[in-house]
Formats: sequence, structure tokens, C-alpha cells
Amino acid sequence: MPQYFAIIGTRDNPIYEAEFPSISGKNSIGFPRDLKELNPFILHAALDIIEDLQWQMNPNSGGVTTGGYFGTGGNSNSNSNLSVNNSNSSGVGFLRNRSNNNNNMENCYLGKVDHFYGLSITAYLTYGGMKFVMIHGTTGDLGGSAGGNISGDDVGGNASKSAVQIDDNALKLFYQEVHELYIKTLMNPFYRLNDPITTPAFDKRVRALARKHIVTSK
Amino acid sequence: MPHQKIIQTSSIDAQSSTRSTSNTGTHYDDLLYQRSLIYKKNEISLSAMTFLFQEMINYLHQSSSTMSEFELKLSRYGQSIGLRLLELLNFRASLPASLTSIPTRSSILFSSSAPLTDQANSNSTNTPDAIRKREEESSTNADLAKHITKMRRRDLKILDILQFIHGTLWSYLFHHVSDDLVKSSERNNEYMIVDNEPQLTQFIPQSSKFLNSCHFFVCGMIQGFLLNGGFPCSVSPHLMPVDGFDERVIYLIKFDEQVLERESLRF
Amino acid sequence: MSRSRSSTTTQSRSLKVTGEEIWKNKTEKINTELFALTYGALVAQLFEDYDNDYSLINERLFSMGYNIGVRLIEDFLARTALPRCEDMVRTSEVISKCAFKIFLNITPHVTNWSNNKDSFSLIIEDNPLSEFVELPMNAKKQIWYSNVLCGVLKGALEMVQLDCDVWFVADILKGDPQTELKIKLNKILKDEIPIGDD
Repeated sequence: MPQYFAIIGTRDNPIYEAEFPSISGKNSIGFPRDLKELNPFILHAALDIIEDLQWQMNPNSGGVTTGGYFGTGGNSNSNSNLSVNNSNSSGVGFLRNRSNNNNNMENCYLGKVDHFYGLSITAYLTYGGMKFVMIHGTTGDLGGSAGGNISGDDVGGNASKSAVQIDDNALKLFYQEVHELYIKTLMNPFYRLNDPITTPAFDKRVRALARKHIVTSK
Repeated sequence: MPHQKIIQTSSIDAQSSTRSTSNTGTHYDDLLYQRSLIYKKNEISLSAMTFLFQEMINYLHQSSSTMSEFELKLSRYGQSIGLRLLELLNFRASLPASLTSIPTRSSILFSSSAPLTDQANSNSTNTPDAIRKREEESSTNADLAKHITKMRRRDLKILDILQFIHGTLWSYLFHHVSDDLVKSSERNNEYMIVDNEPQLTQFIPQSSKFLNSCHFFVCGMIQGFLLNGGFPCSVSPHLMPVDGFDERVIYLIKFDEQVLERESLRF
Repeated sequence: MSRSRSSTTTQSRSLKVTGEEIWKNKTEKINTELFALTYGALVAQLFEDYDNDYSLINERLFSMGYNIGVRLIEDFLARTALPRCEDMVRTSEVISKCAFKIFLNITPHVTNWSNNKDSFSLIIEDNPLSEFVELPMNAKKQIWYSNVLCGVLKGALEMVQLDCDVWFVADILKGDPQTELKIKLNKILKDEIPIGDD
């Protein structure tokens, strides 16, 4: 099951894209062709959700268990406040819990933010508002550590049961390490904000990180 | 593990490996990512910095036809730095305590017993082999993110990010926190950061009518930091001497209306 | 023979001590990264302003350095109160152990002397200007990123009556194994009233 990863700039422009194919036997499996063409659109639709989550106190979908947690996963605590801005016009959004007074949770890693016919979309925000977004293909397990967390279900009930499981811990590390690479790129005075990142060295390292954290053999 | 042997390199991987063997220049491509973001706490003299700053101001003066053009350009320099420090300092603040910094060069290299010699130090060459060896040895320093258990929270509220500027950013730039952080009592979108003894403009004569404009550099740093953190604003300097502090400057921050709206809606 | 060598060594050592002492006790300091970022912003802007005309950019960096150098020398002499140098060997020591030390907190190595001792190289490690920098591909071959240093040296030396050529021959930013600049004495300028006498 492949992943499609992109870094989106502050003007909603992709500045880096990569597909990480999965391995099965001797073959590497990319996205099916028709699905592949949709990837940029899927990402774009997720951006609205991400921009909304960007300003929520606790936008994490509950996978990361440092500090507080969301109970059995997702928004089953009906007593909590619901997000004020629940922009779900496309029908594929999430309702989010807003735990009161819990300021300890990380808010860079957003976890799973959306899904689309069995594909899961995760995201991460940098301090300067760059968005790291990944589309995860269907079936199989991600990550090496036991007990990957299941992300919250959506209320609309869209095929969420067959959505791919996300190992938040592995993914968070992946995003963090890419974040570090991004900062090194940014510190170069000749790199301007929102410029595409085209150096092979960056690409090579991102792919190595993907292999390290997102083992996709079947 | 079987899948490691058959991991497909992307076509870009293949290109880059041929490129790097044929052109030693691209070996350096890699060096950027081999360097560490760890804070080395190195210092240079303030005098060197102010000489550079003054020459930068001269250059901008020559290429600007009006004072406001000069101020805008100077602010832009500051902004490009501010946006970088936003990411860098937040990242470093996420590191565990053991990795926040390493000792300065000077304490390692200049012990009093160091013999005086004309020969280059053997472990100080920069041949590709020596570089690679050093990088391997310090590889734990080069990739820091894997040691982070929890990234520092992105600041969502005005006061939080201003505190970070007043404390962390100011200490990083000037070795001390800012002298005051004040909210205007008259307008709720205005805040002020005070510097009683601005360092960079120390050598510009107080009588100079350009003095106020030169503060746009630091204004730009603050503005770049805030803007890219999601807090669009304008920042301007105002000279306000008080007893004992003739060069005191106030950096006035005016947040855009949307920031206040967001703050009242969400928090 | 050994006596003159040891007195040179003593002089060197005392220069080193002087440099360190002034750095430690008489120098206000600031974060190197701020310096590097400021210089980086300036160079990046020059790339835009001069539309990637690399030889013009190199020249501009040099002339900025020169403007700095002619003023910096006064600061240097005021802080170190060193007498005039008798020759280039002494000059090289003062530059590497005192000047670089008290301004940039580095001590470049002096090497590659010409036979008649009128030119030498400075090998600069841990160049504070090039922290975080990677040159764009098309600029790599032609840009001397730290060219401002050459200008500073030229300007400062001119003010003490030494007409020198100063230029980079290697830079790790270009993929070279080390960063090296050369200083060559052309002539000693006609004496004005020497600095320090009255």
C-alpha cells in the first residue's frame, strides 16, 4: 500500500511531492493510475480541514497519547464541546473534540484529518504554517510497533471501517524528521519561503525516512 | 530482511547517485543536511556585527529613493530572518534538555596548554574523508528530530507568541529578555516590546535623523516571526528615551483585525 | 639562530594571549547565528539586485568589505594598541591571532608563504559567515560568498600603509576541501603620519 506525501506552502502551493511505493514480493506497488491522478485533489480538499484544525486548541485526532487522551478513540464523549467551525460541506470531515483546559497536547502532528474511500489522510503543521500531508493507500498494516491506534470514526459513517489503520507514533516521527530537513532547507539564505524544494539530497533523505518509519511490505 | 534488498530507488535517487559520483560539487549538496541544527552558542564581537549592519544600511540607503522605501527594505531583511528563527527556535525548544546546546568552540579548542604550532591541526582539515569521518562521529548531533518526544506547541494565542518573542527570541538575539512587554490600554490590537539599550544601533549617532529608521531591521524580525506564525501585523519603532536610557526604543505591534476576531471566536 | 626562533615564538604566543584576553574581557559579544543570517540576507538580496551577475556581486561584496575595513582598523588599533608591524610575517600573525580572534572569534592558519615572504594564505575553518549556507548550483563556480572578508583586509591594511591584494582561492561552499584566501603585499605606501605617533 503506497503513500503519497506532499509539502504544501503558505499559498496552498505544493513545494515538494513524493510517492512512496509499497513492496509486495518483487513488485513495488504504486497508486492505481486513476487514483493517482486524484491525489492532488484529495490533498487540496484536506487543506480546508487542516486550516480549520490549525487554530484549534487540541486538533490531534487522539492517536498520540502524550498528555491527555480522547477515551476510546474519537468523539464519543458527547459531553465535550464540539468544534465551532465544523465545515463539513463535502461530507468527509470529522467532528473534533475540544478538550477543555488541556494545553499539553502537541499540535504540530494532527494525525488523521480526513479520509476518502478507504484512503486515509494525515497531516502535520510546522511553526511557519507549512503543511505536511500524506495520503495512505488501503489495506495492510503500517509501522512496526504493536498496537497502532485506530483513528476516530467519522459521524457520517462513510466506509470508515475499512479505512487504513494509522500508526501515529511512527508517522509522527516521520513528520518530525522531515520537519527537521525542512528547517535545514529554510535556513539557507538562498532558499525563499514557498520555493519548491528540488535538491536530490532532500528527496533522498525523505525517501530514506519513509523507508525507515513507514514499512509498507505486505 | 528481504524487502530491503528489493526496495526500489525512485528515478530521482538513481539520477542523484550518478550525479554525485561525476561531480564533486554535489557532494556539498549533502553537507547542508549533514549539518546539525543544534545550538552551538558561538559568538562574535558586537563590533563586527554593527560594522556589517552599518554597511548594510549604507547599501540600502544608496538603493532607496525615499525614507519609507529604505524602511520597507530594511524591514524585509529582518522579516526573512524572523521567519527562519520562528521555525528554528521552536524546533530547538522541542529538544530534550541534553540536546539543547553543545559547548562553544572556544572552550574546547583554546585550553591554555595548547601548544603553539604552525602546522594545521590534524583533525581540522576539510577533506571529504575528514568531513565524512566527523559527520559519522557526530551523527547523533546531526539528526535531532528522532530524539524529540514532544514538539513544542504551535502558539495559537497572541500572548503566547509574544511571550516567546519577549523571552526566547530576545535572549537568542541579545542575551537577555526584552525589557518589557506591554499591552496598549487604548487599543486592543496594539502591543509593545521595549528595548532600553538597543545593541545594533549603538554606534549610530543619536542626532542622526536616520536612527529611528534603522530600527526597522528588528521590527522586521518581529514582524516576520509573527506573520509566519499566523499573526499578520505591522511593527514600527518609536524612540522614547527615559531617565538613564537615552536610546530606548519601543517596538509597536499592531495586529490585523482578523487576528483579534479569530482569538475571540476560538479562545 | 634558535634564539631568534624562540623570540618569534614568544612574540606569537603573546599575540595569541593578547587576542584571547581582549576577546574574553574587552569585547561585547553577540550571537554568531544572527551575524550569519544577516550576512546571508544581504548576499541573497545582492543576487536579486544584481540579477545574478556574479562578478558584479563579488565586487560589491569586496567594496562593502573595504568600507568596513577602513573603519574597523581604528577600532582594532584602539583595542589592541599594537605597534606597527615590521614585516608581512608579523602582519600575518597579528591578523590571524588578534584581528580574527577579537572580531570573529576564530584564528585562521597562516600557511603557503611565497619564497620572498611577501604573500601568504589564511585557511579559515568554521567560517562564521557561511553557517547554514548552500550556494545555488549556477552560482557555485563563480561566487566567493565571503568576499567581504577580502575587502575588510584590503581596507584595513591600506590604512596601515600596506597596499595588498587579497583574494579567495578556495571555499568549502564551492566543494573545495578548505576555505583559503591569499594576501599579497604590493608595496608599502608612502608614510603619512604613522598611527600612534604624534
